[in-house]
Amino acid sequence: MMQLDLDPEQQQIRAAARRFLETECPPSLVRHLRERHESLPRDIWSRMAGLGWLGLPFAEHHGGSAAGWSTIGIVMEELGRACDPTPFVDCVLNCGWLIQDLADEVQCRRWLGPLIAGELRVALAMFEASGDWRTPGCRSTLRATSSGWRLDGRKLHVENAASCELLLVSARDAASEQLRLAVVSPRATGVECVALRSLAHPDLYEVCFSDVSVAEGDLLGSEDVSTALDAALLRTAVFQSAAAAGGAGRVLELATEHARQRMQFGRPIGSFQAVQHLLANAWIDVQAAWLAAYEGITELERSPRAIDRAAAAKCISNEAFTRTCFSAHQVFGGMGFMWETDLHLWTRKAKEIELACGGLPYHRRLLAATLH
Amino acid sequence: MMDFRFTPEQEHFREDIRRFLAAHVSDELRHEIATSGHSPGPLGKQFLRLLGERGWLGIGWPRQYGGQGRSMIEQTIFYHELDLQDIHYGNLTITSLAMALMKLASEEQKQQYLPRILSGELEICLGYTEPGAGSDLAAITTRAVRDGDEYVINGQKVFTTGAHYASHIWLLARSEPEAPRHRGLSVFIFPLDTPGVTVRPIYTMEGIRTNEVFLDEVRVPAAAMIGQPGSGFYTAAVALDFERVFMGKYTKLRRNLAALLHECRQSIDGAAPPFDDPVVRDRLVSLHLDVERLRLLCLKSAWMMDHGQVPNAEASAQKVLASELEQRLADEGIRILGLRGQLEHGSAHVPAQGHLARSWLLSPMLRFGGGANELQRDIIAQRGLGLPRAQASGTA
Repeated sequence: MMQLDLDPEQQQIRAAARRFLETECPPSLVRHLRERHESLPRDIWSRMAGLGWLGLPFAEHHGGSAAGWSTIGIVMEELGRACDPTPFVDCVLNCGWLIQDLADEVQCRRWLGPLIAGELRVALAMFEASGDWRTPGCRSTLRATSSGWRLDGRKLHVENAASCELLLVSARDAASEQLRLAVVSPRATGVECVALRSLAHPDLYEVCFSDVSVAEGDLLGSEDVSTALDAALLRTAVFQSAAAAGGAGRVLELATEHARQRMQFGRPIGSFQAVQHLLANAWIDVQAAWLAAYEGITELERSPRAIDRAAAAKCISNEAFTRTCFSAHQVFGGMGFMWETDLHLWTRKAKEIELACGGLPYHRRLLAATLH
Repeated sequence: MMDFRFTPEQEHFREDIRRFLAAHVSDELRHEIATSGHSPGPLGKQFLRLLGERGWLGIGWPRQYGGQGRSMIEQTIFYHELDLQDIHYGNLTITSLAMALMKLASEEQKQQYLPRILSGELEICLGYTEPGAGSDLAAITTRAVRDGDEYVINGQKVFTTGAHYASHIWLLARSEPEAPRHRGLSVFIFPLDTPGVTVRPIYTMEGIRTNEVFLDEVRVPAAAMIGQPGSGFYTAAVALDFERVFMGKYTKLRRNLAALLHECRQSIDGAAPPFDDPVVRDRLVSLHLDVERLRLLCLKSAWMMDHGQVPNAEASAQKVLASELEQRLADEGIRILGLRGQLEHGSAHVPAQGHLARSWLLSPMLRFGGGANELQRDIIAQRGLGLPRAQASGTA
């Protein structure tokens, strides 16, 4: 049966997630972490682990709960609403899930258990200066030597690199040209993290690898991972679409509330048609973004071939989030522009989500290839 | 569980419709529709009768009124399939007025009108707009004065599309002159051949006929009133919500985009197809994304109706998106196709069977008709977001 809204059980999950995040993750915390250029709020992270969130996508024999994708979508929607300052997307959805996709049993036991428990934080080191992640854009190399593999290269836009426990690094096998994934400690000899300064993510790094030793057992799988990486990006993109819809919805609520309260010319600015129309457009945007996100999630869960739905979810929801934030800035005026106000936290998050997973032009090219 | 798919039974139903349409929609019928505007010609009437015989005009109606008792999702599937075959009569009698009758009319009126609507005997045109009452529907001055068991109606309607072929009119008139302006209106249904009704043609920019209707001492029975005296503004608002859901269908736009994509993939005299140009391709992706947004809102409205809700802000959102997208799609499509884009149906070298050209000419009306988009955005802001009423707007 067609079901275009959350069922009662899912609504309960959403309400519980919302209550948790309203208490544990208020905007003041998001701002505090940004000011300290930090994105590993340790106390929330262990409580998220306690709720089982960090194990949502993973098989039960790995210690996860193998949740349906809609459930993960609901958690993401609420994280987006709370302007998620945690590494949930990068650590759980990107890295953990890639480990489950590609690693052998021994590796899964070694990494997934601690990850699900909140004790192991992994960051994906995938993008380089060109922005491309496949060969030839990926210029980092793994060389086989008599004493094991050696990693050389330079990764950009790595989240929380300095404070996480492990990095998942893509590099091409210098001999076969195949793309591989290696698990490396950011504190290993030859690894250097240099902080970048971003308008979006508060804790971003360039990571340089110089003759870093990698054991055979720290490589994921034995085959080229390009296809797996593409699939992982699309998968993360649909879940982030739910976060975008949740964030846009929250920003629209804040702007609507402000429009009701703020008096100018003797009446609430929300009674002016120009302001109403700005917010009406945002309402349409948010409705469509929410539907597109959950359609992308449910369709990609059914079939990895649902590239059209998934890419459309990314484009529709991400554009809606950024647009809604800018409309909200127009409504808030100076009261959304000051550092100590909250709105800009979501505006930054909107751009972070938009640029993630290959960005919008990549997903628009995916869509163009499905047009006929 | 969230699920965006049609059920296997619904897909089956769609296949039935497709088979039927493949057997019964001829190029002659398409041509008649393309050239006759909104009114069905001889082939169109024959086709509508066929649909009526199969019970396909009242798919989502309850069985007690002669419908099939299926869901609105199925009715939506049906109208979407018609659209994809270029059959888009603006049949608001079935999709809007009948739905409002089911909600608001007396049992006797339902028995009186609904089966005849279904058999195609009754086709009703809309008598809302007046020279002095467009988006401000409450400004209506056509008067209905009670006289015994009758009302006597005097006034003038304009842009009364279909009045030259419809059997009846659904007329909004002021029956309670002392009441506040939103509370003084009533809706009446009566035959257009009632003495005192005069219909005169008006031709629009797209070359299609609409009408003005003059009402001079028109006497109708009091039983022709739908709902209570003074409830007309509300009745019209409910009918308009259904109308906006129908006007906001995405399938015509999906079809127009498919036709544009097809043209863009052709190579003419060895030139590179427009689709190979990344500038063009990205414009097409944008249009595709907007059609997708509209598709999702369409599904949501149909789904809401199946769950007993009348889409309100949702209907307005659909209308806004659909009308603005139809204009943008036609406008950008013609721009992409270049000089050939201007050619109309019936001309040599016409691209996309003339759909884009026709759409482009129609599109200004879509943005102001059925309640101007400015009003729709007021509705969304006030009903969807709960913002205070704007000083200079009355939302329908």
